Formats: sequence, structure tokens, C-alpha cells
Amino acid sequence: MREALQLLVDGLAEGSRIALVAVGFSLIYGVTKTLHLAHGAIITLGAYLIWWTSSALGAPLPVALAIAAIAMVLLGMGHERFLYRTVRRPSTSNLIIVVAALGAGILLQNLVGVVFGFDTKSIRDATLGAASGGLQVAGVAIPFTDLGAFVVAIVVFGALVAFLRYTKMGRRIRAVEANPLLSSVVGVDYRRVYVWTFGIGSLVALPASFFIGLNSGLFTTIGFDAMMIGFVVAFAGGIGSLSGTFFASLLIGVVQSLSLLLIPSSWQQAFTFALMLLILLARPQGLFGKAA
Amino acid sequence: MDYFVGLVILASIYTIGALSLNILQGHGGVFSVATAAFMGIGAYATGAVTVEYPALFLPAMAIGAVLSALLGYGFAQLTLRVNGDYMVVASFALVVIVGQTILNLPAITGGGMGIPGIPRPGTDDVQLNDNLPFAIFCVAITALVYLACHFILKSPFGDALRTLREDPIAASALGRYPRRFRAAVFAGSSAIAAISGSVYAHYISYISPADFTVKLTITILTVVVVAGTNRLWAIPLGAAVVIGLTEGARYLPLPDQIAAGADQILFGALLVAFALLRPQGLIGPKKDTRSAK
Amino acid sequence: MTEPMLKVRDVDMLFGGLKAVDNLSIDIPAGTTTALIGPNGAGKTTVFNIITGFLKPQRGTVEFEGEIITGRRPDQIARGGIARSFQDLKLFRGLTCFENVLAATAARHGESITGSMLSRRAIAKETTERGDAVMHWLEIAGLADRRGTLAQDLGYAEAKMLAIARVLALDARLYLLDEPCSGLDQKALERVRALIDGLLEGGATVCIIEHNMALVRDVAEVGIFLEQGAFVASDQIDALLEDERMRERYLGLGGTK
Repeated sequence: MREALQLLVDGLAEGSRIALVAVGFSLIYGVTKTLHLAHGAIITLGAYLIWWTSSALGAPLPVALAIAAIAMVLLGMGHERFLYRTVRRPSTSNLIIVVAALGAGILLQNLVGVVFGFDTKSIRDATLGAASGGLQVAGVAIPFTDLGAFVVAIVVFGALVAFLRYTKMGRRIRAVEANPLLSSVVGVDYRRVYVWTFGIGSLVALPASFFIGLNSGLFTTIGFDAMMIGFVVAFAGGIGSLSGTFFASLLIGVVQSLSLLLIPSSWQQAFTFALMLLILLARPQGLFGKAA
Repeated sequence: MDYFVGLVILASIYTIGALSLNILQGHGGVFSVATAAFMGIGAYATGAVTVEYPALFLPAMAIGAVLSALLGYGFAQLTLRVNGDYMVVASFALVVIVGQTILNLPAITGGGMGIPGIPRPGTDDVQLNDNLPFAIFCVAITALVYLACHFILKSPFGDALRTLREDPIAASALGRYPRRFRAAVFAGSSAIAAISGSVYAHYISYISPADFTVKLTITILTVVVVAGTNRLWAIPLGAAVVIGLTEGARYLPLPDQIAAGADQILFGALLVAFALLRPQGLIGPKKDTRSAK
Repeated sequence: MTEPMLKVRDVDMLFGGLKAVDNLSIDIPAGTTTALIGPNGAGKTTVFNIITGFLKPQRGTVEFEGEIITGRRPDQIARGGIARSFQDLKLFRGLTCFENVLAATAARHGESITGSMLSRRAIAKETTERGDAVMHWLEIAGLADRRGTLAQDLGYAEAKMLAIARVLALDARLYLLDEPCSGLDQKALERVRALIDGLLEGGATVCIIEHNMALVRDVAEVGIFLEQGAFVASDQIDALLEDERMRERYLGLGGTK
């Protein structure tokens, strides 16, 4: 029983990290219909900036996070403004956008390696200090980093929902998602909305950079690896439903973790992806998505 | 000279892989990134068999091709209602699943350690250990695959495939069953990818699951994007260009740190450049097609 | 009284809560041209979609030449003798005019991967025959000199003629044409009318959806008037156009002339 509880806690933490990647991706795809496969590389860059500013420059954590956030937002917006908008012509197929996104992601990821080094790095020492411990509740170990990931994911998700509901830009984003043609008729500049969407989606992923970096150490593919599961979860959970994506992320994190009770750890990833594939095949709109 | 021969071998591998992807994407209209998975199946079939029985390199290749064709066919049947971006997602998942499965069958695949010491093709009398005979073998295989693709694409099957790519509803109304063609092209494309993987296994002689990730698909994708999907002969040309650029980059006086990422940076830059500037590839669209007799 | 070629019986078609087709029963007689008329949204295209297998009705049957065809796939129905065109044309935009019409001709050889590699001589021979058929249809449609042009580069009228050529090349027994004439000028209309006459002469049956009443009167013998997915009236075309319900609700004319 204790083992199951521990796995549950671990799973929620992992699910939270996935959610921080998937929700941003889901927002971007839901609004702009762009398969932004460079999202992972931006997450990698964020993590490396946190490392560099805190380890190499010795800046305090909030400063490191702020710098990473600004860079991620600018890069996200830049991708839309300069890459996707140019590639997205009526005659070009979706495939070319995927090509552009993959290319940009690979390029960025490796530029990060070139600039900061391809060796593995750690951000724990520089950023955590006292917070590297954890709680013990009913025999279950809850590291502060895991707890933090869970709490932050909920807060960030809540903030995102509030933003979309209560701010002017948020409402514009929802309008464009619901009906691009109609929104342009009533005067919403969809191109500006797109850029903002990319910015918000990238900002939401900043905590992901931090917590994933803490959890697994830094190497140039951490963002891509996280995005791989994040974007499959976004689709399996239901594009167009942010809460669907959020809950699906937590669910997948928990299921993946609990699966250890039944299968060896080497099969975990295959199991999780097979499960998500099955969900997509059985229900193409995703678990919580609306039917087309 | 040996170096150049090695490049020819690499070009063969890339060409066959790119032919596989081109048939599926360019003509079949399916956005799949699962090429690496099928190359992996081909490589492991060749590796597992020829390590024990080096003379059975052709049957090994055939086994890999058949297994891939079956998996491709099955996957196509499952993903019928899945289109466009969703297909990218599903095929991504397939690459992970296949890679992990390979990892978890150490009895056949050596698990995470992979299969070392894969021999070059050859019987007891003749071994293609030197690069030049092996290169000739590779070119021959490439030529056969190329010819097969040419016949397939230029035939009524190819015509039907392209109509299904353009408008599946209209194609149905003209009497063609989309499911059959989609499954067939997926099976064929997967078999060809497996052949590419088999040659790859013979060439680098040591394979592990880490070789067959989406990264490999991106390499092949780069060849297809550079070549364009309009002319089949652009594919070997695209392979030559990509290899030429990556090899050329080796001669640039780059510091070690940059050199480590140079290949990938090149692929990324090529993909972005072509997507922005020349999405139709190096070789542009045809003006007149089959109707010009 | 001969059996109708096509019988639609008691068909309901629901989309969510919306009833697009309501307890519909119609007959299409063989060897003539029937016009399916009615205001926009009357469900006419939906009826075509149901007949050709693109939609599965919640209730009812479709019978063609004595055989129930409800539940069959569109490609099966197309090969079974029913050809249909689309209101939005659905041309293969990236393919040439020649390739568009070629797609409608049947290929007995080479439509499989193995066949494409092995039956090369048979394919070559058949391709020549099919090519001749394609040029025949392109010429009739006035597009012979546009054979190499991509469909997406055609003008509006040319595109409509290509769509017609493509459906005619199917060599079917029943043709369902969805607004084949909308937006065409007099010369093109003449051409289409001649084509339809040619079909009837060849023994085929035609059913068209059209809004152009002059054309309908010219080309059709029988008319079926639908409104809001339900059957309203059916008669010989002249009588139908005099029908009071038709004139009021559809033509917007008050009472009888």
C-alpha cells in the first residue's frame, strides 16, 4: 500500500511536469493549429539559461527564472512571427510547417549545446540550497521539488485559465480559437493574437524548464524528450480543452508511475505511449476533447 | 578513395530511406515520422540473423522487410481515421513503442547493449569486407529499390494514390477504396525503410536502440525536403547534397564544441531554410505530367 | 409501369438533433432525366450523399436496380453503376485535366503494388486504351487543349466542365449531378445540355440538382420537389412547375398564373 502511495505521489509530480509542457503546447496548437515542435527546444534553452545565470553568473533564483522566462517568451513569439507566419501560406501543406518546426527545434537545441556545452549539468546545487529536502507523510517521501512541481502546475494552470477568461487578450485568444473567421470580421487581429498565444504558451513552460532540469539534470535533449510525451498527451487528452490536457497529463503521470506495480520499469515508456496511441485511435478528439 | 566509397554507401542508405518516406509523404500524403522505426526493424532483423548465419544476409533483409510491411500495414489500418497532424503524433508514438520493444527483447536484440559485430554480406567463399565490393552491393540494392519505386509510382497504383492524396472523397466517388491504398502504400514504404535499415546495419556493424529514434527520421526527412517530392531522381541527388554538406562541414576549422553539434545544426538549418525559401525542394514541380506523350 | 431505377424508401437522416431528411421516399425512373429541386437546405445534396453511401441514414433503404445498396461504401456504389458529381467540384487540384479524367476510368491492371511491378505489359496496353477514352471526354468537354493544365489553374467554367467530363468518364448507368450548371454562360449551358442528352441516348439515367428553372424545364422530364428534407411533390416537369405549392414556396410567385 505504501508503495502504491509513493508511486502515486511520484506520478503526480511527473504528471505536473508533463502538464507544464503539454498545456502550453495545447494552447498553441488549439489556437493557431501549428504543430510547434520547437517547443521542446525552447524549454531546453530555458533550463540552460537558468543554469547559466545561477551557476556561472551566481545570480539568485528569481533573477535566473526571470531571465529564462523573458528569453523563452521572446523565442516563442519569434518562432511565430518570423518562421511560422512566413511558412504558413495557403498553398503549402501542413507538412512544411512540421518540417520548419522540427528544423528550428533541432537547430536551437544544438545551438544551446554549442554555446553552453554538450556535457550534463546540474542546477540543483545552485538553485535549491535548503529546499533540497522533502516531507515524510505516512511513510511516503515527498521531495520539495516534487511538491513544488505539483503546486506550481496547479497555480500556473489556474493563472492561465484566469488570464484567458478575464483579460482582453485572453478573450481575444479564445475568440480566435473558437472561430477565426468570425473574430477577424469583428476586428480581432488574428496575427497579433497568434504571437501572443506563442508567448503565453512558452511562458507557461518556464516552470517546466526549472522542474525538469531539477529532476533529471541538464542535457541538450531534455526539452525534446519532455515535449515528446507532452505533445502526445496534449493530443490524447484533447486539443482545444486546456483542462482536458491538464488532467490528462496528471493522469498519464500517475498511470505511468503506477504501472510499475505490474510491469518492469523498462516497459514503462512503451506502455504509456501505447496507451496514449490507443486513446487517440479509439477517440481521435482525445479523452476530454470535443468531437469534430 | 576508400573515404569516397564510404560516402557512396551512406548515400545509398539515405536514398533508400528517402524513397520510403517520399512514397509515403509525397505521393501517399501521409505525414508519418515512423521511418526510423521501420529502419530499426530491418537493421535488427539483419543484425540478429547474420551475426549467427552470415550467408543468410538476403533472407535476413527479406525478413526485416516483411516484418516491417506487416507492422506498417497494421498501423495503417489502425490509423485510418487519423490525418495530418494527428498522424505525426501517432507515428511519433510508434517510434517510441518500437524502440522500447527492441530495448526489451534482449534475447533477440541484445537489449540496450545492441548487436555488435554485424558482418558484411557474404557467403563462405565471398565476403564483401572491403568497402568497394560492398558499395557495389549497396548501389545495386539502391538501383533495384529505385526501379521498383519508379514502376509503383508511374503505374495505375501510383495514379490512384495521388488522387487519394488530393481528395479522398472524390477518389471514393470514382470507385477507389482509400483504406486499401493507404494500407498498401504504408506497407510498401515500411518494407523499403527496412531495407535501408538492413544496409545500415551491415555498414556500421554495431546497432543499438539509440540509433533508431526520431533523430534518424529527421535525417531522412532532410534528404526528402532538400530533394523535393516531384521527381524521383531528385532523391539520390538530395542524399548527395546532404552528405556533401555534412562531410564538407567536417573540413571547416571548427572548435570541438561546435563540431559536436555541427551535423544536427546543418540538418536543422537546411530544414528551416527549405521550409522558408524553397518548400518544393531543389527540383521544382513538373509542368506537364503523364499526359505528355 | 416499369420499375423505377432507384428507390429511396422512408429515409431519415439526423445530424445531432437536426433532421436533414424526413421520412423521404422518392423514385427515379429509368432512362430519363429527373430534376431534384427545392430551396437551399432542402436536403437535396444530403439525399445524393445518402444514395452514394457517403452518409448512412438512421432509417430507411435505398434500392438500385432491385438491389438494396444502403450501407455499402461509396467506392462500391461507384463501381456498381452510380456516378455522382459534387457541388464544390472536388477536382484533384494538383493533378492535370488528363489525370483528373483518367482517374475515372477503370484500371484492371496495375492498381496494386505487386501488379504495378509485374503486369507491365498489360498496364501499357490498358493505359493506351484508357488514354483514348480520356481524350474523348476531354474533347467533348472542350478541354482537349488543356490536358496538361493543372486543375487548380483552370477558370471557373473550365473547372466545371472538367468535373462533368470526369463524372461522365465513369461510364455509369445512373448519373447524379449536383448543380452542374451553376454559374455557367449560355454557351457552356448548351454544351452541358448536349452532354446530358448524349447520356440519355446512350441508355443512361440522369438526376440533377439545379436551381436554374429554365434549364430544368429544358432538360428534365420529371421533377421532385423537396423542402426541409421532406417530400412535397413529384410530377412531370411542366405540371410540377405549375404546382401551387412549388410556385408559392419556392418560386415566390403567388397563386396560379
